[in-house]
Amino acid sequence: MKQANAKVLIADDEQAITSGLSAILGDEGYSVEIAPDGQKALERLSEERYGVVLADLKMPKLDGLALLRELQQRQIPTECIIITGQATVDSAVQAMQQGAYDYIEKPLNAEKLNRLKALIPKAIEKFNVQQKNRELTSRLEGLTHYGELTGQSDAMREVYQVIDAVAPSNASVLILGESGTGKELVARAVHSKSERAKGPFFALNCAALPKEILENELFGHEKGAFTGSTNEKPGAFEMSSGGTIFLDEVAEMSPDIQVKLLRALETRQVRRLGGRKEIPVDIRIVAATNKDLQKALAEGDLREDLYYRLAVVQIDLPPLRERSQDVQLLATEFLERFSSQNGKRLGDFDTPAWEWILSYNWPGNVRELKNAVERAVIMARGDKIALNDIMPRHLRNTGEVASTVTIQVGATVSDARRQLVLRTFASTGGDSERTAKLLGVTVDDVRSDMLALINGTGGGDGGSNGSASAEPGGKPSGPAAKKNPPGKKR
Amino acid sequence: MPSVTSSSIEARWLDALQRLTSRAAHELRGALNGVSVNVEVVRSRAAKATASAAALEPFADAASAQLDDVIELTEALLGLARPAREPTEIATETKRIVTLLASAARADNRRLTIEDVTVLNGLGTTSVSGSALRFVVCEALLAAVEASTKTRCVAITDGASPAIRIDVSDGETISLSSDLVAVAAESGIDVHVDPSAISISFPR
Repeated sequence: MKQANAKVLIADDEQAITSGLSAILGDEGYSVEIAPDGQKALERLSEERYGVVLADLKMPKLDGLALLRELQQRQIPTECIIITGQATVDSAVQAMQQGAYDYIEKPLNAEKLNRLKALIPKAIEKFNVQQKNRELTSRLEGLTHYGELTGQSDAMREVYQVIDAVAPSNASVLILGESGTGKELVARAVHSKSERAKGPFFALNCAALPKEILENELFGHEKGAFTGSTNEKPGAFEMSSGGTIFLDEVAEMSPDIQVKLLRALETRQVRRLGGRKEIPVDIRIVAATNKDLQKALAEGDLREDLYYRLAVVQIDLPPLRERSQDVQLLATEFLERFSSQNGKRLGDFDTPAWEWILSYNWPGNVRELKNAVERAVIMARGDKIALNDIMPRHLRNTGEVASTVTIQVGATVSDARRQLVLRTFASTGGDSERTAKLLGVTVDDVRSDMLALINGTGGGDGGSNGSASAEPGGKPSGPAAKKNPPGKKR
Repeated sequence: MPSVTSSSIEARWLDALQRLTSRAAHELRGALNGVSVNVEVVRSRAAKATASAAALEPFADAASAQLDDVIELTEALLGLARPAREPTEIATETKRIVTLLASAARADNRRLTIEDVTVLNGLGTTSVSGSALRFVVCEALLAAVEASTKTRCVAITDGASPAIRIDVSDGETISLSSDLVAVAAESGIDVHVDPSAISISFPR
């Protein structure tokens, strides 16, 4: 039985055994290679991926158990089957404790060889499953973009993981998030990652349409259903059949449309306005709201039964002020996009502009940042965006910044420190000395933190001389870090 | 120095034989593994219509060579399990011990060889009891193999007495056990050690 990644490494110093085993496993369809000792095996395994390694317990240079230990320590992915001539309980227990897939006692007679032939495909299957998991995790870990979403913060990576998990199912999804956080982009990602991706994606803003028009948009109408309806018209449910319908601001929907929506979700059938016929629809619903859900439910703005239908899986989209790691990434991306769209060559923001971007709390979230950068690109006269280009006029000299810091449970200490320094710095109008006094740290600490943020090396979490922030390349930050030109190391 | 009687020499040899057997058993398993795996290749490939004799030959040869090792080890073990003939044949007993220890030494990436078997065969017999000779030779070879990666067993004549010398290369200091020294003294075997060799002379 040949499987994907069916590469087997035999680590044994006995040539008579390796050539025989190699022939047997080669006949089974595996790609077999031989290492004459444990050290050579380790070198091979470090260079190439083998689904399974068959290792003799007793080998020159590095024995089977030592090889297992090295594989664990270096986190080299493979499944190890130990072949032992000293099958004592101790050695077997030790091998299994050190992560061996299994062990087989010598001599390998026909019965044991059959057992080995049965073990290898199972071990390779385990290796392949774990390899896929590793690839998925590392793919998500390195992501700065997911669909049309941008962000590399832990909060956004959690969102990506939920989308990855829920997209292939048919479950309804409710997205919660403040205005401007990108709820529609999440809905589009759920659609594009699902099997419905080839079907239509239909987005409707329930708050933007009067009740009658929304009902008409959702369910359609028959000819003569109301004055002026000279033709029949299919609704969003019919038009998005086989795809996904996104209902934004769902809690703004009137109660009687909520009842109709609930019925459509339960029966998977709709009836057009003025129609008698039930029309079957194959749809997936993704809904979103920026309302406080508990309040909306308590006040009856959103029916509880509809809520449970919609919120099979709930995705909480964090506000931009809780994604300080993403602000710089987003600002840079918007700068590139709008510079190109406007035919300008703007390479960067200047240092005061960066300080303001990073310290402002962006109540309008990504949408506000995007608009601010677009405006700044249009207004900019130099080769860099200046503070006056990006900072809205009404905010200049007002010191209008948030007086509180929101830190999520589970946020890292350095992230909490970063937010505290940023917000305090902003509240003082960019006065490093007052910021330092308020926070009980040195001015150097504040400057070091701000520069580290601008340079993309995160905030420090140490004291004045023991700051944990570092320049790329591992140099400790401190006075030297201040010499780095801002905006060069993102 | 512990007192040595003929019965305690016997007990010491049996203890040494047990250690030797456990080392040899591992090597026997390894050789049997080689036989088994290669026979399985021949068996499974021979069952296929496309099998050619030439393609099977290397595996049959490997199985045969491994079988020779099994036979050699088994013969040496059986020989040492039986009481030695009186008077004791120096070459026969030494070769058996070297065979078993050499195999175990190979697994530890060490080498133990016999140089000039013809001279060894010519050493004849000794009046020393089989158990005493086996014990002293076995312990001396073990000490040498543990001290060095390359050990040679050479037959020599020390005046009128038949003798063997155990040469070691790149060796650390060889230290002989007090048991070996006591048994040798009691049995009339002369053991001399210098940094790179152990000389063992037997009485006629």
